[in-house]
Amino acid sequence: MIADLWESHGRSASRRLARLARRELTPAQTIIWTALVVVIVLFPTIVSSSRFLDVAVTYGIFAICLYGLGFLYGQTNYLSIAHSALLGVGAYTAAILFIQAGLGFWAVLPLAALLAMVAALLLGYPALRVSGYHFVIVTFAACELFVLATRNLGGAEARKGLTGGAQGLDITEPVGQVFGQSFDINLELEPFYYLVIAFLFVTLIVTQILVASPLGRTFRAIRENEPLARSVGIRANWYKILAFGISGLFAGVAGALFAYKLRHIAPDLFNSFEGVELALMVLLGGSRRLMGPLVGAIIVGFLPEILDVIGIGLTPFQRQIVFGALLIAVIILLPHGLVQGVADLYGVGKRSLGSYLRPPPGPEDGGGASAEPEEPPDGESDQPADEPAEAVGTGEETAEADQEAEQVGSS
Amino acid sequence: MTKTRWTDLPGKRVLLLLLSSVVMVAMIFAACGDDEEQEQQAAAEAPAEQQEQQQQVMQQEEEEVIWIDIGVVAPSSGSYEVFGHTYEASGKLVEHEINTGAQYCIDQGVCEEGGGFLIDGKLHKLRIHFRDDRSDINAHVAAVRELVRDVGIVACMCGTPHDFAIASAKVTQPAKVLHFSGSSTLEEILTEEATAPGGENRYLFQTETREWQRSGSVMKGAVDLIDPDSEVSVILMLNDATGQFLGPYFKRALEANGQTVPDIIYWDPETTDFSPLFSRAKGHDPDIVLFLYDPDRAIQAIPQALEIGAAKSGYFMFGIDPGEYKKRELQSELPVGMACVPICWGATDRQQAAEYWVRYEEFGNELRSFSSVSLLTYDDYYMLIKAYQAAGTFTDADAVVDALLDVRHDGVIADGFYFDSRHIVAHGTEVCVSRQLEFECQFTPPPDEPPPGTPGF
Repeated sequence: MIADLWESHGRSASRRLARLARRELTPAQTIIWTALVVVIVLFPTIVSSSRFLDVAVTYGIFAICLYGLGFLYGQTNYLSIAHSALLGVGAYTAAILFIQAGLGFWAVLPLAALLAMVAALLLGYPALRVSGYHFVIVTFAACELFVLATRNLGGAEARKGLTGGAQGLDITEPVGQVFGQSFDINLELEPFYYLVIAFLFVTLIVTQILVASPLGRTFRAIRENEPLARSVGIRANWYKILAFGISGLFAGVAGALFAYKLRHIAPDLFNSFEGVELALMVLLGGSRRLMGPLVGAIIVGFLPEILDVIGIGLTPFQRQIVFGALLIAVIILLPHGLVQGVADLYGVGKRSLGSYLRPPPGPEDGGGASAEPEEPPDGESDQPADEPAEAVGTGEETAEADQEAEQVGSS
Repeated sequence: MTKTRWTDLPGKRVLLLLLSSVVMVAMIFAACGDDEEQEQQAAAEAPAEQQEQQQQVMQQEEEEVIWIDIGVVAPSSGSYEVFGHTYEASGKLVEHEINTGAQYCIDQGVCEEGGGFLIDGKLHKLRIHFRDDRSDINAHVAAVRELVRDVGIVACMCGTPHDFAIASAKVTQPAKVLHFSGSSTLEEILTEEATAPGGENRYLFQTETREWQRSGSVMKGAVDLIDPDSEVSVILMLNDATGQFLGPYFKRALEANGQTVPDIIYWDPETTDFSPLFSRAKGHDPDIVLFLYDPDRAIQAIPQALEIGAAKSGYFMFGIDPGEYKKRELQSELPVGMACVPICWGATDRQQAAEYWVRYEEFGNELRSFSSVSLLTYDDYYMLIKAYQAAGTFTDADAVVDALLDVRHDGVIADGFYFDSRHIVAHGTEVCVSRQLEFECQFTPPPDEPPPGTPGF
């Protein structure tokens, strides 16, 4: 059975990974990814402000959760508000197991991820029977339910109960050492930052493997045409629940990290407002590109801080208004997210520049028709056709990926 | 035909890498430019003579004055702004009074005539750093960490509400930064063991009185003023961290004042329709219905209670200032009691407090519903400076803590104001009652003994 699975899925995934490793980037992608990696790695060195570094840690953790949320949204087109609650499941698992059983971060991490995944599967089973706005409302309600449960578990003596009631729980020990390296964020910020970055890096790779795998194609087949997928025997509900569960796994890891970052958790940290904020980050960055969730987290995390620095003369309220207005502008002007929007602009600019520089067509060109074929409008024209999409999920797939997705549905 | 990409050429790839790195690093530096750079830019634009004069004055000051950096992290925006703005207001007032040598500061025996204060014969002044946490716990912790690590503050007025206080204490305590929090829920972590030398919360202080003291003085004042003959009271309490903590304390305090409390009804923060809750309260046939502890919601809720006729003798709202009540012109046939944290600006019998509110307003601060909260830090600044002076240092945190525990301060809130061995202050609370917008106030000292069932006693 396992050998069969490996044969059908594992080998395929490893081949995809190998192709990814060989993949050549376009100039724009090379610049952006290189710059992003350089900035992320050197961030503690080039930024002297501990506030910025702290924000980077927090939103780095959120970005891990966002890759789960982006995977769900991108692969299945379901936007969940419940991911703050799933983050909470991870955080509470870490805190409760620390307090009740004395388990440290490394011991509790897989359990936090697993429990968040189980919670997501349990939630996904009823929630994914509906779609669109109904799904959003169900996940919103689930989030509120989580807050109510953690706030009131234990009744009148909730604050002495398992979840600590509204006052929450404390973790008194830092993340355990690895090869002698301590990760006590309250003593040194930088090691914890790199720990989060390491988790983020692993998250990126796992996401890309998942997207490029046959499983990812099956998800996309369901997303693009669910009735068709069902008609050929794909158990669409089962796969959607699985996607929700996988996204919960990411949230669980992020939750455990978040608990050890603050070392104090409380129900209000995981309420529906936080869920909306996570969804907003995915929408802002876009789930169509691998970089999208990360960019979304960076925008929501750093824009208010940058406004604090450059917004001299503005009151705190005015800065909040500017922040809100900028977010609305991005969502309206770039509905597929900032990263996709920039890529589109790049494509448009490149085409315009190309047509400007190109010599005027001669009479033999047939009245102005270009001798070369038009580039697709996504700015990725020089991407070889056999490359897998650089995407967390939706729409950005190359012709081949779409074709493959359809093949899954029609085979 | 195979198309060769220009990035395939090694030299151009390296160039690309370099260019992108330089651009991003420049962007980050531009974004992270601190106030110092902006000040330098502004200074460069000033006329040369003025600049020279400024430099001379600054140089002279730098030679003579030692600056003490204190942080204030509070919400100036977001949902907690209603009480957050008062921390900045009182901080600016204190900074001004101390650095300019205001009469109040001189009367306190703290300031020199020309401003500043002496520690070990050397002139010191305060430099208070404000940060807006936008009512966001992550922004709060990030701001505290910046102040502790980058600015090098020696004390922080930060951490309200409860979660913010606990999370930021994890940053301040290892760094030995004195941390003053207005959260009244810290009593459980401020144990004798935790506040002893070497303890986990050695440098953490609660600037509100212990809850059994506060609830004791508030409930005594409320019952006395609304109806001393009342027997049954019902509490409607906000269901959050503070509310869950306060509920049992207020119940015990009412029982200690001869009341029977058949029900504590917890209401969730997002509640807007309180009618079902007041109907449930009315089912107990109470004399007094108490609404705690969000003043904005109280203003919305009490008219609903009046319409239903939930209580027989009167109502009580926690956190509402008589000044705010007057502004709203709320009408009630029954007396409506209210208490501030800790002294009201709209009506007070304490002379020192009345003078403080005059100074507060003259300094350009607006009196609002939660302005009284500013008093939770105002006296602490003066106590802290007295501790620095007694210890002869502001850098040795342990010596300052020892000295602070010995300070007895005749302040705005109370005379002989002090922090006890568990780093918690003790003071009474002012309770007022409105009868057709005529106010009567009573400052009730805390009870001598906690009521039966109080945790830790």
